[in-house]
Amino acid sequence: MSMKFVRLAGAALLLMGSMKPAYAQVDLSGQWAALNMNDARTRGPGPDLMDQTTIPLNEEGRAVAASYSYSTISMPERMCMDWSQDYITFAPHAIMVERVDDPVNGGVAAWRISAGGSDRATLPIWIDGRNHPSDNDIHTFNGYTTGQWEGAVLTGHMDHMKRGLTARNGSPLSDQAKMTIHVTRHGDILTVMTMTEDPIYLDAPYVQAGSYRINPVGNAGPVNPPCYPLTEVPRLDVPGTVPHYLPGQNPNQETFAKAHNLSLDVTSGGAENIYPEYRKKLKATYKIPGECHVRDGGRLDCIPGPAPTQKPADNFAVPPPPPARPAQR
Amino acid sequence: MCSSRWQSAVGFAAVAASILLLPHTIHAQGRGRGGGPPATPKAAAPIDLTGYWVAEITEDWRWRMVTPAKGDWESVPMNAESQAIADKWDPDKEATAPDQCKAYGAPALMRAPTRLHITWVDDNTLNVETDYGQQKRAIHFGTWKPAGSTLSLQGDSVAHWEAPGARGNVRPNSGAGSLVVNTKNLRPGFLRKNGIPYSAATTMTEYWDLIKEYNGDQRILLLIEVDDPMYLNQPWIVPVHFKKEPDGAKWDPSQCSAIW
Repeated sequence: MSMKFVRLAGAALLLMGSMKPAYAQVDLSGQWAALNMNDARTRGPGPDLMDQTTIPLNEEGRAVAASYSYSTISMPERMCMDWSQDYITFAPHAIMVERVDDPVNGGVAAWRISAGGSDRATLPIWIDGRNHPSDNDIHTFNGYTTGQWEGAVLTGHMDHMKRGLTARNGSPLSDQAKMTIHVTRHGDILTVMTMTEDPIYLDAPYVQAGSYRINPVGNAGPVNPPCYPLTEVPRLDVPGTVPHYLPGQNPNQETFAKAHNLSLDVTSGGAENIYPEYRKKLKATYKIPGECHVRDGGRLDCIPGPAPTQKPADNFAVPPPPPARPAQR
Repeated sequence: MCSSRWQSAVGFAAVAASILLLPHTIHAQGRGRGGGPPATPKAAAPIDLTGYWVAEITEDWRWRMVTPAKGDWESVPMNAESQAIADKWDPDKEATAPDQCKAYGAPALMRAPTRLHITWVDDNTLNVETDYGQQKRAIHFGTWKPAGSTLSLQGDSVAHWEAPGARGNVRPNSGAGSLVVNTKNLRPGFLRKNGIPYSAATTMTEYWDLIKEYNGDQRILLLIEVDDPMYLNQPWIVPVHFKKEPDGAKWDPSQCSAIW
C-alpha cells in the first residue's frame, strides 16, 4: 500500500470524525396547521373556568388559580399573561417553523418556531452548542432555549421564562419554571410534546402534546400584533384595581365540577389525577352527566339535565354602572 | 491542474466516499458485520420499547378517565351518520349488554387510562398488553400477513422500524428511529365510551417514539391516526404519552366495562 493511499485514507477518516451525525436531523421547516383533535375546547375557546383537572398544581398553585379573574387581562400591564411562552402547548394556532442557518459553517444553528398566537418573539431552539444566559439575565415571554437532536427527536430546554399561565383559566406558572420541548415529525404531521416544571406552583412535571399538519398554503407569520387589553369587565375605572377573587369567593369555583359530576378535589388539579389508579377514587361517586346540547352557533355545552335555558354565566354579565365621578374642572 | 494532483484528488474523493458510505450500506442491508443473515426486527430495534408504561392523561381527561355524557363529542371529527348513531347511545342498555368491550378496541385502547406491558414474544412479534380490560395486541414485523380478513377487537397489526428523515436505514439501539404500526381488520366498536362509533373499514397508523428526558424519565410519545371513511370526516390524529415505570408493581388488571 503506497504512502499516498495511507495519507488519503487518514485524511478521509479525519473528515469523518469532524462530521456531525447529520442522519438524525429531520427537516421541520414549514407552515403547520394545528389539528386540535384533543382538548379542542381548551385549545380553542379556552378551558372551562376552574377546570385545572389535569394540571399537577400544588397547594399554592391551586390557591392562585382560584383567585384568578378573567378580568385581569383588561389591565394593560397584564394583558399578555394568557399567552406566555408555554402557550404553544395549548394554543389552537398555526405555527411556522424556520431553519436558521449558521452563516459561517452552513450548519443548522436553530429551529425557530413562530409566536403562534402569542404576543412575543419567536421561539428559537438553538442547536449550535451555545450556552444559556446567566441566571440573572432578563426573563422574556419566549424564554431561552437550547437543544439537540436525540435520534429522531429535536429536544429543547427552555429557561428564563416570565411569569405566566399553564392554562388560560388562571393556572399559574412562575418565572422559575423550565420547559423541555420535544418535536417529532412523521410525514406531514408534526408533534410537539412539552414537559413543564415549576418549583413554585407544580408538584410534578406537566406533560402535554399536540399535533400539526403541514399546510403548503399556510401564512402564519413569525410574530403577531401586540396584545391589547380585552375589556372583560368591570370597575377598572377605580384606580389600583386588580381583578381577583378572595379565597372561597370565586363564583365559578364549582361550576365546572357540578356540570360534570366531579368533586372539587378533582377539578382543582393535582399530580395524582392523571394516572389510571385515580379512577378508583372516582368510581364510587362518579355518575355520567346528563346529555350535552348544542347551543346557538354550534357550541357544545354539557350541562346536566334538559336543554339549558338559563342566561349566560354570571361572569359574562354586564356589571352595574360604576359610581358617578365628580365633575372635572 | 496537473495529472498527479488530479489523480490524488480523485483518489481522496473515492476513499472518503467509500468510507463514508460504508456504515449506511451495512445498515441498509440490515446485516451484521460478518455479512450474516439479516438482523431480526428485535435485534434491529433502534429503540427499546419493552417494559411497563403508564398513560399520563393530561389531554382529554374527562373523555378518557371517566365515561363522558351522551352527546359530548368534542375533538372527534365525526360525520352526520356517526352523530346519529352516537345519539342513540343508552348507558343503561350498555351496562347490561353482552359485549362490554366495545370501547377497548385498538383505536380507543391506546388512549385509555391504562398501563402497558410491552414484550418481545419472538424475534418478529412485539406484544402490547394493557391492564385496562386485559387486552393484548400482537405487533407483527417482517413479512407476516393475516390469515384472512377476520375482524377482531385489536385487529391485525404489522410494523416496521422507520429511520429519521428519508434515509430508510435504522441502526440497532441507536435511539434514532421510530416504530410504525399499521392496523386493520378491526371489529366495529366505540372510539369513546359514550358511543362514538368506528366501522370495520377503520385503519389505524401509529408512530411510536422514545423520549429520554434529562431527568432520567422515559416516555413513549405515540401519535395515533385513526381513519374511518364511514364515520369520520377526516382522520382523527391525536398524540398520547406514556411514562416508563421501573416494574409491574402497579399493574392492576380490570375487566372490560361499557360504562366505567
